Amino acid sequence: MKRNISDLLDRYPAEDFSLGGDVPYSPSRIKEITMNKIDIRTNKTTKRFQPARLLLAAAVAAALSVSAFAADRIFGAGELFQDFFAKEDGALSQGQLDAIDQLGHVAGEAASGLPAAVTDNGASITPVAALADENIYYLRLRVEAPEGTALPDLDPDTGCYQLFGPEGADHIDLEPAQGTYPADGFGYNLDLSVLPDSEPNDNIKEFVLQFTNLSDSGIALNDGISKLLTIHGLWTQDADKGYTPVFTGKYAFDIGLNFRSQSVNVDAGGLTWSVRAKDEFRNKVYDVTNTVKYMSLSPLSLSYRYTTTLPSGNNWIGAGMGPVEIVLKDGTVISTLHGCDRDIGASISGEERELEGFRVFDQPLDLSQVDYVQYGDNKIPVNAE
Amino acid sequence: MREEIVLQKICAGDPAGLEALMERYIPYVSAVVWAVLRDVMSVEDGEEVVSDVFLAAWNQAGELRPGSVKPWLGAVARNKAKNRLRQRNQTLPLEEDTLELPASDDPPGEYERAVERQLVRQAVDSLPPPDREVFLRHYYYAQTVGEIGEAMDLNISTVKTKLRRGRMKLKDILTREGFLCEA
Repeated sequence: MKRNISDLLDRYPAEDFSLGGDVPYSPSRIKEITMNKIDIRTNKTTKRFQPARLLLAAAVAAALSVSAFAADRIFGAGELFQDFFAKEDGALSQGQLDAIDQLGHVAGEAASGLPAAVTDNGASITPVAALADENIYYLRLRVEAPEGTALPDLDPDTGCYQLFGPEGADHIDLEPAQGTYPADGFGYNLDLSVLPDSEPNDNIKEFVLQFTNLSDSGIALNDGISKLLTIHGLWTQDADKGYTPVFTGKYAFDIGLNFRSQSVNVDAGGLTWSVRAKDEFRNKVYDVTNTVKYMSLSPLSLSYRYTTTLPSGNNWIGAGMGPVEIVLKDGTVISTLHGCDRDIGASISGEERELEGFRVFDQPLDLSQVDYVQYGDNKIPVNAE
Repeated sequence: MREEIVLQKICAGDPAGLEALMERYIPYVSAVVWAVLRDVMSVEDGEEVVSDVFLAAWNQAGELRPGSVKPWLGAVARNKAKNRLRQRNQTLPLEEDTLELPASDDPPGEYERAVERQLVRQAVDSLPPPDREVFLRHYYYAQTVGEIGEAMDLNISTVKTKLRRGRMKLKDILTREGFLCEA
């Protein structure tokens, strides 16, 4: 039997050398092809419900000037986040709105800790509403450019608004109070959504910032510990990633608020999921079994902790919780979840280690409507009445 | 952007992480794919293969580890490009790429393959650094003898000599362990 040397080297861990030479491939075309493919594959909604901007502007004014009770009755957090979460083909249910109302903070509410608007160089930024659990934090901001500046809706193919500029000093920063967390323990991923509005030629735009928790174990986004959000202005970004400032300044807010937890425990402890994982590059097969130690459900995310038998020493396969779906009483399956798993460093034995992680939902859940959690072949009833 | 942050973003489903990964590694992945495919496929088809490598990173984000991203991408790129060649019934045009293995009634099992990989690694790692680089540039990265000579400032006969030494070493170790027939 003949064997090729090149095939014998298939699983050799070769370092790279400077290969050099003229390669005729176009980096920009490769990027375009790739990003188009993930645009098709990801289920992210970029277009949102047309928000009632005039109503919202009135809400902010009312919330800041009239009694908190009155403001709360007119605009709860649910209504303020509905246009962000709801897809074009439907609105949130009353149960979903109630869940957001119970979790969220709204400017002007008596119990709200939302910071006040900041004005600099003639421009203002106002935190309007916030919503968080331990894994995800949503903040709705109202941005008012200096008088006479028009902020039209931009064609997403040619440009967009950004709350950060090209230089490091222009970036958005979320910094916990010094000494509150272990050094370098706090981390997050930031997504920014610009909401189209009904008055596209005035000087107001609204945004939702979405912070996903990438911190070390034990650090939660809803823990009430001071976290200073600093924004340095508003820019437009063109298709070639060129930035043009609309206004600049310093706009800083402490958004480290306490949020009421609505988490419910899911009785999944001890349940297992097994998979045969193949290391394609070294042609090695691992029989992996994950065992759930803990699972809980909040309207915004699913949290879990589990042990896995996948050895940490392998170089090519990352551990993962396995398939999880949330099934509602009307049969709707919530499977479009994203999130992260992290090794919490606890080695149970020589062959097992412990990880924790979470999955975030595209829309908040009305927990009373959740029938069960499907984890692999395990059906775990949820009773959150 | 630090590689850890890039991976965290990809893991969190943030396309900005994928863009940053491509910004950093497209030249390398393109070079690996091009060295295998050359003119066998159109430029557009080659670009599709490069794109598929980054899609694999996006879809298998859990496999990416800080510090080993580049070899991961290189291995996937080489694998995907070689598969494309096979689909067209083509092979890499390499110097004396074939070794004779003992005929066996049974396909090699997991243990035999593991031993074989270990022996290949032992053989390649035991080569002196310049010989090893020449060997890997040719048999792993599919660079031509002329390209290797240019990159390492060696004449063609020297490159061929080093390749021959590498083949002999590999054959020697595998033969001693009973994996190859004496030619």
